Amino acid sequence: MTNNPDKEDAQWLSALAGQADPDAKTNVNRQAESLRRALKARSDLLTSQVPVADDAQYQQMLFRLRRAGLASSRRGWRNPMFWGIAATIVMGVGVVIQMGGLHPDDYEKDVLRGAEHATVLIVADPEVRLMELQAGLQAAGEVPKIDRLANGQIVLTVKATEKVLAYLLTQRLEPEISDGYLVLKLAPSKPN
Amino acid sequence: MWLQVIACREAMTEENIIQLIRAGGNAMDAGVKALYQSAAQPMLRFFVFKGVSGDDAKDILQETFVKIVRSASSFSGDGAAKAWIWQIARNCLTDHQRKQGSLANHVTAVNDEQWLSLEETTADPAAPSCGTFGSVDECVSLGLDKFNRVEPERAMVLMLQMDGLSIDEIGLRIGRTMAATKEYLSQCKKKIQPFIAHCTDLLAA
Repeated sequence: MTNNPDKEDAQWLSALAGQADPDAKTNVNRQAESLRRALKARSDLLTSQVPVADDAQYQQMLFRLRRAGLASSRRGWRNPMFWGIAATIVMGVGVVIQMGGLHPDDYEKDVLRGAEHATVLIVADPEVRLMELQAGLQAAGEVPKIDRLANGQIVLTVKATEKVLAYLLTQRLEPEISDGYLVLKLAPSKPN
Repeated sequence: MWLQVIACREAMTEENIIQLIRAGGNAMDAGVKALYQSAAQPMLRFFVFKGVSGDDAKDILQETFVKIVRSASSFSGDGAAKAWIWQIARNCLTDHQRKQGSLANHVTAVNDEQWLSLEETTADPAAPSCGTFGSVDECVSLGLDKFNRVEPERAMVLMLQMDGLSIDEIGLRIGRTMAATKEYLSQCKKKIQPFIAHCTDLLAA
């Protein structure tokens, strides 16, 4: 009775990979095939948990690379984010023109003072925008700290996790991060 | 455009990809995209198979890409680029597991004496649990579960073999040469026997 362990190992492994050798011992093939079924069931279960490497994941990865200063943003006008930023600037300029730069008071000072670390969003109704942002941030796993200023502005401070940044990216926001946190300031287009 | 990248990648080796990334600018973007197309899904699958959640797998993948891009300039070119890329992926996974405190559980080591003990207890046909199996597949499945608890790395490698990956591809994921991977697979067969050998009686039935 010959028994070549190397050959038997190879036959067992082939059967495990779904290519049973008809010349192998019956028990070798049957054991490997039974193990194959058990491994397949396990593999199917795990496979259902594997994220899909799709375009959305790719964009998040590019965002992470850009944040690390490792990817260029040379797509310029072809980048949808460009249009988001451009639209925000245009709207901001429009709001300032509407306001006529006529309020050299606390409101303006607050914006300038906070601009170092906060991303200022000039919105029609800060409370409404706050609710939207809170919902999105909470879905991203973080509860922001909320501060309401006397001039009607609302300041959100939140931990800058990957999920939070990914959510804000969907809102066309790329805020500055300081010590792992980011600050968003919601300013009413018509100050109180 | 996405499909175009796939088509372009067919002719692009990992060495080409690293060269593109090292070049910077538009070439780097193309290299990152090609690398993503070729490696992202297998890496995500590998991370999940190694026991991390889908969300964590995405984080580890991003970290892997950051490190690849950041260190592309230091790639000497002496070894295979694909092996270098997978080495970074494994390192990122290990770092993540270390941070999560799950590494100690994940790399449970079993010495020879413990194996003898396992063989005695697990392969004992008189063990009460053996009589409760309804079929060979149930018996083997239960044995695999037990094996996975003490040797998750080997269980994963057997899964990769079952998936039909080549020896070369399995070697990339576990950081071994082809010859060492063959030997490792043979060892996996030997190591799992105490957990499923007792099912042989049912096989013969």
